[in-house]
Amino acid sequence: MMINKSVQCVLSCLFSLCNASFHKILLIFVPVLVMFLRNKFFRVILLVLLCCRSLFAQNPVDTFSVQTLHGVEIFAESVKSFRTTSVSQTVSSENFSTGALTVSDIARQFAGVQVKDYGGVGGMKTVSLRSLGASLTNVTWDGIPVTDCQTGQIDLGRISLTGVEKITLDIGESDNIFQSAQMQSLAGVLNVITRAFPSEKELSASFKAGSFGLVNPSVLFGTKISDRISISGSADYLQSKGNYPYRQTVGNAGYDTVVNRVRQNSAVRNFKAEGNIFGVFDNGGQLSVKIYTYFTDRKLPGPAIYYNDYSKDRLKDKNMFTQANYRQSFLENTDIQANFKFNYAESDYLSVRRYLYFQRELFTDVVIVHRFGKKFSVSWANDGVFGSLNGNIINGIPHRATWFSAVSGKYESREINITAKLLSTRTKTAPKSNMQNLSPYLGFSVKPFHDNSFRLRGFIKNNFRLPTLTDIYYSPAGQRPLKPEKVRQVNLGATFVSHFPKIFPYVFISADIYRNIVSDKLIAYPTNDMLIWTIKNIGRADIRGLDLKGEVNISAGKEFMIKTGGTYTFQRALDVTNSLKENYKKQFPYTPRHSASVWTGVTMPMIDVNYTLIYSGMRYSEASNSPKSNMSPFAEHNVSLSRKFHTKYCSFTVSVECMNVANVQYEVVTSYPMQGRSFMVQLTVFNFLKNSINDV
Amino acid sequence: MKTKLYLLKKILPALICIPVFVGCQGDEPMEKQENVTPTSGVLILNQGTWGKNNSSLSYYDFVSGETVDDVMNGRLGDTAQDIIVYGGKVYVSITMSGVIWVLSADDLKELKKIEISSYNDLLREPNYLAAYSGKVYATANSGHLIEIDTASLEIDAMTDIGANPEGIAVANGKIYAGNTNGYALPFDSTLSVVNIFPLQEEKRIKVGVNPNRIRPDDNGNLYISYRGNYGYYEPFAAGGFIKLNVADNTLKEIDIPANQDFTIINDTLYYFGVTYNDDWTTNNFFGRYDIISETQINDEWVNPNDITTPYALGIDPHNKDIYIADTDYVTSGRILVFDRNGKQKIEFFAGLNPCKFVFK
Repeated sequence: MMINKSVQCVLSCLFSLCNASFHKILLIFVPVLVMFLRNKFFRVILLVLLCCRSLFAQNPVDTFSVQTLHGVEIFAESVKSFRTTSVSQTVSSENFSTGALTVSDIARQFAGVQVKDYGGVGGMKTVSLRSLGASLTNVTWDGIPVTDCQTGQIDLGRISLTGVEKITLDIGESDNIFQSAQMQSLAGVLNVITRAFPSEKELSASFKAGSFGLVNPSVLFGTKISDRISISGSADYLQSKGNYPYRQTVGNAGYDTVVNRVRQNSAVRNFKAEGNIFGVFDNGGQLSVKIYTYFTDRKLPGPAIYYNDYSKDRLKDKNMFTQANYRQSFLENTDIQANFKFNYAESDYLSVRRYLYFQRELFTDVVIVHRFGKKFSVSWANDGVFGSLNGNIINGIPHRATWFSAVSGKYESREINITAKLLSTRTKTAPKSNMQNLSPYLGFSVKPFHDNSFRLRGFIKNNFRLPTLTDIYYSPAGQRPLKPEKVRQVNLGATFVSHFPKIFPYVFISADIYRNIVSDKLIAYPTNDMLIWTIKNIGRADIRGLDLKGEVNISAGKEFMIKTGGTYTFQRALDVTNSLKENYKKQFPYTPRHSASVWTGVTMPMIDVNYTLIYSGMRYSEASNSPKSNMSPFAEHNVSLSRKFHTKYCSFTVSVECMNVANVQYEVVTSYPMQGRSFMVQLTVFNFLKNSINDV
Repeated sequence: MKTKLYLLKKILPALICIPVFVGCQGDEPMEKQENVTPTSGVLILNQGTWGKNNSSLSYYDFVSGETVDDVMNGRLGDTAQDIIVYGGKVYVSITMSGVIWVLSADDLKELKKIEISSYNDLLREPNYLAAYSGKVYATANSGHLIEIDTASLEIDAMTDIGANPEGIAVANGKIYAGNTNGYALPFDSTLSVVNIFPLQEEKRIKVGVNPNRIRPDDNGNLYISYRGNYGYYEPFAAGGFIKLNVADNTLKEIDIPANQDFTIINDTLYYFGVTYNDDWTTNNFFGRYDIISETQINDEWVNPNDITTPYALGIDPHNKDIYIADTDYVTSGRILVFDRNGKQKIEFFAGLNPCKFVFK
């Protein structure tokens, strides 16, 4: 209700908007809209939009599309997120935070995101969007989904930042309709985008070394081998002993003693290699192919158990995939792209027993987009995904075929953007479990006033997640009759972007309120014989929240620039499963009401200084929210100093970074202590090949 | 790591918790003498959740009617498994923390924390406890039987038995421990018979697949419940219930459904269990069995409504009051108390996953 009321409030000031072509669009989207009609929120919006008439098409000059200011790139990026119908955030490589090694370190900065972190370099790190859980986040690598049919979750701690150009997060739905249908299937998408192909020969290398045995060399190479073909590649090796100290408080408050311990059995070794080929054909078609391998061998310290450090668990993983994207413009107004991916992963977990898992997945997809004039486009995407899983503790080879089919439409003018999508998912899981579902999305972004710097946006999306193959088939007792978990997301927000010449070349503010309703939530439950855990469709969740984001660039003099920004997230994520239970209307475990992040980068003539703050408010580790399970707030401060040098042969950057400067002891997941203060030095050499060759 | 999470969350606790369903009053010979005196209160061992260091020990005082949430103030450790009262002391085994706590039975003050895990620098993980003739015996997941001297409170002997032994009982001057091999699989189906002096395994007796609970009666018999292999591998082996006559080593299947746990007071065996429907809703059952006439007692005994999952059963040996713990695995366990005729007396909350009652 909170949201519906505020919608009415905000939108009442929107009356009398619209332009003539708008009716046409509405006609096309009627089927989609009908799906939303039962929702009050969208009924209001629809009413408002239909009533609107006058303001559009009056002030055609969009000041930001013609800006050529200091920091243009950032600007282009933020103008994009300023106009999106859903919540879109981007971090580019030049703004990667202090001490960041993997994608999860960047994800912590996004508004509305919670990173579940099991601590240390080797600890699993997954993202949850707006309290919906890690399984509802799509992760894509250069536009093609990264999947794991075993667990349904992607460990972002495994995706190294070497070669990564930028990371974007769309909560809800991206406005890009020229993309695979599967990307529309969950509550949001985290896109990892690797560097573009270089126009000439390029070789860069970086070496990082840090506390607790961290060593991380990496190398990047790229070249154009003919007019039409470019290649690039990267390799990255990381090792860490992970034997960091932590303080453990034993006992309840008032009766506690603090014990100094060291994390045992947490050494990690990772190796990643990636190769890319990009080619342009005579007909204008573009083909890019990526080959990727990843090996990891990590010891698992397990939870920090009282009185017992013993752990001998070890996990070895191998992952290989090949993916290809081909795109071509057909007619003047039609583009087509086809994607292909084959993924193979094996996992060897040695604990009290040895568990082996092997999974394969084949992904194919064709998307066609057609533009009607400049403002309106329609696309159709079809994906076929076939995955199978086997292992030494699973009987048989469960496999699943999924067809994602999406019809999307987009209308984009200076005054209004509307994106509507309808995704149909059909799955056939063998031995026997079939599901199908429709997930519609409707989003808008409007410019309510003559002033170009302010926009309102909103979206509604129904989506769902399928139980993973292990959820269904782990039990030898037979398959479980599971339904997909259903989620409805509603979001309403406002964005503001502006600039005040000379001092503030860039100011960006966004605020969004949202509500997510989850039904048939999949919850893991032990059965009484405990050897068999089961997944049940029993949960219901009611999640409301607020995301704020602000960014300011301050220019003070010719070579002095400050880029700063921050996010704030409020989440009220309540379990509304059973009113008779103690956890009814209690906050979900590990979900802080308040969390925030701040980043500041100061560019100075001699040296650059970067600062990142991650704050998480009080949260509970248990569903009952008992005072004993209270986890105290923490703030992690990270600082780095870096300097760029240019020589005749190359340019290089040296940086010194300190993470968790205040040495705060905290946990994100109970019994998994996080690393205290640590240091890292980094040396990056750019383009030395290019310069030396040019010199010759 | 994804595997890790999955396994940690779903499989490991499962494996570790196989032995966990203790549910009743220990029945070791020496304890019975103490039971002659009226009970003054009940100790409720709360297992907590694996990996969260949140095991606790609640105490409900019969005189004051008050509950102490945790007499150990959060220091017990991770995954409590068993508790017995013997010779004026309380012994609590904490599996993942690898310790056995010793408390004074009078005032519940700590006497000692015996670290099993550090012994010989190997993982021990104590499971279940039994007491006999001045010693407390514990099965340990490393495949050992550990002997603790109750005067010095030190480990004074240890011997090899089968893999992942769980249930333990003393009968006829020998220790019987049920080997499960629950970590490595396939499940074991034997009892180790262990001579006490010197502490050494004598032989193994085949009982049923995955024996998990062993309790003696007063007539030289051991009752053993076994869980079967859950259909975990072929061929399927069902769980069941079996009686071992210690004098002549004869085995006899008993007409009791494969159950969760049981306790024997005088000549009555009280049991409870849970079965699962296709949609994973539960059917809970409670029953009594007369061990002399070897028949089910079919009268209406106790039939608690609205129980999610029964997790422990205790019978006050003094007045035969029935204690049932109900858990949903995430919130504080509910304790329901009935009189001997099945009429509900009181209800209160203990800690997370209450797994055993001990009366003192």
